[in-house]
Amino acid sequence: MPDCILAMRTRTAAEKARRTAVLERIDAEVISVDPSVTKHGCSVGLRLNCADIGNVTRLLDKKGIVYGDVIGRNGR
Amino acid sequence: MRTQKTIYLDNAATTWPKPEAVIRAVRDAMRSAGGNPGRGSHRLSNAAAELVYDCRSAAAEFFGGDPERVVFTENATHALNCAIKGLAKPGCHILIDNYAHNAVYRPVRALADAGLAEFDIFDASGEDDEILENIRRMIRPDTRIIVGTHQSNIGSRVLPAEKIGALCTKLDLHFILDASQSAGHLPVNLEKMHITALCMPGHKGLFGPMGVGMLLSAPDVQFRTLLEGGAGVQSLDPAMPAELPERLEAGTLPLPAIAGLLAGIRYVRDIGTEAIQRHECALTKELLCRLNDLPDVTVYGGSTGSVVTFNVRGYSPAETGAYLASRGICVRTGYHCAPLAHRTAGSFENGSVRAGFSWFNKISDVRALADALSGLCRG
Repeated sequence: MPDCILAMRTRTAAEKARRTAVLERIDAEVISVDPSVTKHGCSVGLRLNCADIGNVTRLLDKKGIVYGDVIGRNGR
Repeated sequence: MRTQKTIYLDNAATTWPKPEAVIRAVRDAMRSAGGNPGRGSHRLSNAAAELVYDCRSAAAEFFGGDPERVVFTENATHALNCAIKGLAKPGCHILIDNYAHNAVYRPVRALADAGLAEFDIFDASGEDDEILENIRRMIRPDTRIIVGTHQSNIGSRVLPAEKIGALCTKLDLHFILDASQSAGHLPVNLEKMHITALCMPGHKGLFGPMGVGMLLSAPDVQFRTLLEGGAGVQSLDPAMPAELPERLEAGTLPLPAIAGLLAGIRYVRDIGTEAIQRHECALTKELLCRLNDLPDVTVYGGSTGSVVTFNVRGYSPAETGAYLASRGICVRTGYHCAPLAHRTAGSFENGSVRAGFSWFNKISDVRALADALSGLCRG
């Protein structure tokens, strides 16, 4: 299963999201996203197994953690 | 030659000594988490960012609130400037209390001098109900912010923060609390006290190193920025990110100080604020009891808490401070950057001498101070 990346607005939100996922035993890692992807310059994302995206976004919604688009493998 | 023992009673300026855990945390951060937090995704940067988040999380848990709304500042003054100037709107009215430190008074005064706000000062020296009535009387239709000094830095009066916060909630006003002398000394809770913005230093009651303070805020509160610069994200946008905490954190964070602050918060949490408060109150009580036996000593302010201010007849505060320093006793003299508070306490003419206690002080420190003052009074 390939990795998917969930775009995050800030490093703090990304870390909060990572810990939320890890608490549910879902592997997640904060990574830098290619600036060309977001058009806003330096960005961060949460790298996850694509199969976990649905579960994680539900968790983040529940916790009120704001996230952006799901972007492709390795931020491209 | 015998080395003189240092008796440190200047804890209201900064606490000393620091817990060993704080010193270790600063050293370890510099040794092993040396990356720039939030400025990359390599191992050292990630380690630094995780440590920063650990501190946000610990602060949010300790004071109530959300880790995403814990902003690291340089100190309490910076936090207060961010809160006051970030929440003020042109033409608004601000209320501050008559114990306000210059970290509150000067930013508000600067807004007024620039024609951006008006302010009034309410009397916070009476009973709780009187203070609330004073505030109610001074609120205007354009009042937007009330800034309160939780515990004065020259006496031990404690503001009824929870009641003022409830009043602010009812009237839809912002409540900024200066917890410079209360964080780590007294229970402080953002949610319970209905605080909009809670400002504090890291290096006082929380035992962190100098160089870091915090601004915690309630959900959905929007701040204008005080500083703009790099935030590690959204770097092609001309404006700072809209999201906290990055919105108010332009530039690189002081990682070693934050690591120390995290250890300090955990240290205070493990002892318990109530236990710290009990210990410091006991020291204050003992000092007040001893000073009561010295007719040449005038004490200002209240009688509970961790700070006692006084003067010795016939000596200026500086002379008393120098005398005590010659005996190895460290106190603070002068106006303590709080002229409003000195005016309220009746010590405006010359300022005063201040002894401030921490968890590390012992009853023998109090006795040494009282004995030294007794010697000074005898001439």
